[in-house]
Amino acid sequence: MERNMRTLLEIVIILVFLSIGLTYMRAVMLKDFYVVEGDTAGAEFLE
Amino acid sequence: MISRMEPAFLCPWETPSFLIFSSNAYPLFYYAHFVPILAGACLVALILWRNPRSLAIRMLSVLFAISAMWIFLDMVATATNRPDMVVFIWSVVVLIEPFAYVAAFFLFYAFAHEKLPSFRELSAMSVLLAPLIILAPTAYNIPGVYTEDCNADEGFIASHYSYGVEIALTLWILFIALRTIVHAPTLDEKKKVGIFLIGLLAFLVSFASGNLIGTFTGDWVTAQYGLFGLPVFIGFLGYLIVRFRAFNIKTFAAQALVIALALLVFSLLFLRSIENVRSITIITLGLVCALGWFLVRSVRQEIEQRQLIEKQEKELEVANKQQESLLHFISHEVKGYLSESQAGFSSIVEGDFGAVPVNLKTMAQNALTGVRRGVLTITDILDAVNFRRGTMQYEKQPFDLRKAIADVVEELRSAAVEKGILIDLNVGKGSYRFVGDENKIRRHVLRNLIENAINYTPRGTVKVELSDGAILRFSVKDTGIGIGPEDMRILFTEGGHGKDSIKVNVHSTGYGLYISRQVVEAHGGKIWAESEGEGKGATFIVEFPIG
Repeated sequence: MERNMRTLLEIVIILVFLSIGLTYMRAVMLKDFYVVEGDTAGAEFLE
Repeated sequence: MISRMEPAFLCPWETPSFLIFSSNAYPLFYYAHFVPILAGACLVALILWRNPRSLAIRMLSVLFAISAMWIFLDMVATATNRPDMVVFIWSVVVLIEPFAYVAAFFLFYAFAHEKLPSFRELSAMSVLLAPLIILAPTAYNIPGVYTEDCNADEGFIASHYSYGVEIALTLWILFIALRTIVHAPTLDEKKKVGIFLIGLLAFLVSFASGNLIGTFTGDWVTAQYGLFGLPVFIGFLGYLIVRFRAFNIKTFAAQALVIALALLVFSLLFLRSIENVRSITIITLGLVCALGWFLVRSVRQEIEQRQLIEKQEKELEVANKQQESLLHFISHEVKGYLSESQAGFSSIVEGDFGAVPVNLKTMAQNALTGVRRGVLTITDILDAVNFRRGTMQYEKQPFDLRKAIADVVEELRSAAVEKGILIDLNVGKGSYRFVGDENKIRRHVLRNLIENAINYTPRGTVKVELSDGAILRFSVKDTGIGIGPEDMRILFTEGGHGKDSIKVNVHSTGYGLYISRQVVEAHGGKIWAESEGEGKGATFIVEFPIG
């Protein structure tokens, strides 16, 4: 594999893991999301 | 009502055990999720184990690993009763899903071109994936959760952008595949790429169908059935890769079949309502494993034997060619020596050295006859080798077949008279103009058949006939030793002596009738023999098409 290709792949993989880490921080540690009372189908019905 | 998340809030079912087991699972949930993972893992492990160096198979493994991870995370997201875990897992699922399409892209390249995509293509893909990677941890991806079913509320990234990326990558694969098909040099190559493309698209559709159904209808129960296609298409793609890479596919197919059957039976144990048939399932599983073991073993043995035979065939072919070359070389050399001797004896007999004693002349005459016979024998062997190699040349010109037969009969009449045999030539009225190689037909067909009839007839008559009609028919009928059924089968084969022929004709090479058949067939005709049995004479018939 070419060197620049390998570097690009490595960057993408690192960014994906970084993104997963940030997602965990947002959802589990900061709990930065809202809850909607009811279920998915009910919400669509209301829309 | 929408509210900010409270830490103590949980979805209305129990905490899952081992991350994935909870009562929130739909009917057949574990069956639909475990079977693809287990069956796919076994197939991929098997394919990878048999052919670890193949780039395409390694890419197939990556594709499966991403799909399996996706399926596992789907189980976790369904089983958990914690909204924060739903947001986290669902976000990761959305993030990794398009990477399955990237892996599919790599897989197609590896299969069709035996290389990875270019740096430029990888850069374009990275640009396409960048918003997804950057925005996955934000509210643009998963902004919230519904309290009753703990499903995620999907933002723009999850509900639109990720699908857009998947569609773009699918179209990209399609475009590259079509371009590959158009530029493929052979029809086989086009077919190979086309079938692989269908398998790959089927895999992707099967993978995406559940998500699409779930996202747009909210019916996540129906959505899970798309997963059943994954191991099927992984098997199909694996089959294609090994099939086109000259891999031992039959053993692989038998092993894959047994593993798939065993897994399907094993997976029945995950159904909740089969308590009463559990023992039957276990017995069936045992039987599948045992019978499968025998099947795989027998298939492997058969394949090993076939491979051995193929190897021996190749060795035999090489040995035959070497023998043929040696035979050709020796015959050629011997013919050269015999020709020199022939010239020498001929000079003595014809008086080139002046008057020689009568005894010497007689000896030279006998030697000349022997040498001429030797040259003819060697020529027959050389001709047989040339026929087998397909290097015999024919100089076809129109000639009178009636005259050719009459000449040959006259040449051989004295030999027949010496043995007390009567030659009866019977030529019907008509035109016997024939286009062919006159020399070869005279020597290898006419002379050979009439001479054989004389040689193998101790006393009696040799009847030579020629008639025309829709075809030219030449026959030689004798009252000689006849031909038994065993000899009849090998009569026109190379070296095909009759069992008693050497006793009657010590100079028989076994090549005469083989060469006759080759010459007749090269002229579009056919030759065969008829005999009522040993001691009852024989008739040799040749038919040539007219025109």
